[in-house]
Amino acid sequence: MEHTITHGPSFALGTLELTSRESVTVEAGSLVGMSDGLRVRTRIGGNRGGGFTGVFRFFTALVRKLLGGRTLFVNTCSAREGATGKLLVAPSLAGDIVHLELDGDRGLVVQGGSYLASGEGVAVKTRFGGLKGLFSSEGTFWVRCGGKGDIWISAYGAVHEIEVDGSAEVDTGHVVAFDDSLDFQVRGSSSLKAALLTGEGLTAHFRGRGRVLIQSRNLGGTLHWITPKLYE
Amino acid sequence: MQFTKAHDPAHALAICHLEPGDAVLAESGALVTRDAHLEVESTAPRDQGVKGLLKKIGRKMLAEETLVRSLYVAGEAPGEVTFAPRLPGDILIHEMTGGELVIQQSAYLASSREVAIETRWGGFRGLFGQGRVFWIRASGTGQVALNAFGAVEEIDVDGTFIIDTGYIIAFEPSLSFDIKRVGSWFFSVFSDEGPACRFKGKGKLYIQTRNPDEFGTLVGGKLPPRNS
Repeated sequence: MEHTITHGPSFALGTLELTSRESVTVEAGSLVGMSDGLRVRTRIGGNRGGGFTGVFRFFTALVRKLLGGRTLFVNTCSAREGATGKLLVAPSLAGDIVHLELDGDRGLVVQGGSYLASGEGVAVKTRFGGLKGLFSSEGTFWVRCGGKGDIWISAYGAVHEIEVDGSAEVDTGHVVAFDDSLDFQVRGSSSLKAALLTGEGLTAHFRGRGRVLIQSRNLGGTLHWITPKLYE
Repeated sequence: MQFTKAHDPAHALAICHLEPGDAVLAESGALVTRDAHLEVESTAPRDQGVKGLLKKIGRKMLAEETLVRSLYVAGEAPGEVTFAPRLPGDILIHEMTGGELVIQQSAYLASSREVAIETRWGGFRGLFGQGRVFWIRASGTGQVALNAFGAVEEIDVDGTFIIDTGYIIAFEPSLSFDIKRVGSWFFSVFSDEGPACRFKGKGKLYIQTRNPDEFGTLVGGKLPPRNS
């Protein structure tokens, strides 16, 4: 699949070119436009499974939606035999888009809000962020991407890569994605009081070897800054 | 009259250079600086008769349309005016050469007096979901300045192209369009996806790389509720 990323780093736009029978999975809200003739199917929570898990996914998506989090509805767009098509994708916030290739060995865990699109060889599964994730301001949930193929992720601001060898700590609001070779644990601030006073969010602790991609801005931080000013 | 831009693409500013006798029309609130000797006139859209009144009511009901624009006129001496949009992003300076351009209302920033500007209600087909669409029809010869949330992407449509309405800045009227939903109606209730415009024909389509409504919904949904 041919692709280009233009207008980065501030307002990146991804252009994906599909050829005969190729397909791509796009987070529903990230679809900007497309040429005609592409077949579109909407699904919840990833591109694998159905039946009972499908029903389960529907309810978790609904719960998440009611709690103000982002739902992961995906559109699977495919080009008909002998036809070609073009797709435009963009995130909601200002920032960049990066393209990664999964080699089949190492998977990638992506923050729900950063997942944009993936190629057909990539299996996408939503992973519940747990109770802590549900109640955090970021409404964190994670998408596990495995298999082989292309994946596009977006950042609020720029994308910065850090290599972890040992252990590292990252504010969850800044995490875009990380290699699943890393052990990962979300911890709250040391005390509730500290969390309330400093406004610091949850921290992701990584152990092992692998990449962590971070975004240079954090929506939780922006909101934290702007909220008190609304009533001044 | 000539537009130039500065500080693009992230935070573009439109600079309008007026020769004696020139005038520029701009969205109210867009003004940043003006040479003090330039005259300012307020203009309200000329809606006449019953049809005009209905149009006016329609606009009021939807509370989206700014009814007043300002005209900056250079008399004996040349002058300069600058304009800025509300959100970060680029400005598109489009040269009109006697044809027409259809502009999404919120993308309009300013235009030369020689260009005729007419607001049209998008009608009910544009009203589903978040997709309240007002179109402005520009015609004549001269420059028009449009603002984008993010960057401007130019698409040469030849055949059919479907685009989320929130991303449209402007298009050439050689393109016809209808409103369509991408994917299924059932899912779109949950997925925050706005309606899409399906363009047909041959012509230019200008889009912005971020959707202001989507941004507003995302950020607004995470802010505490209003007290009053």
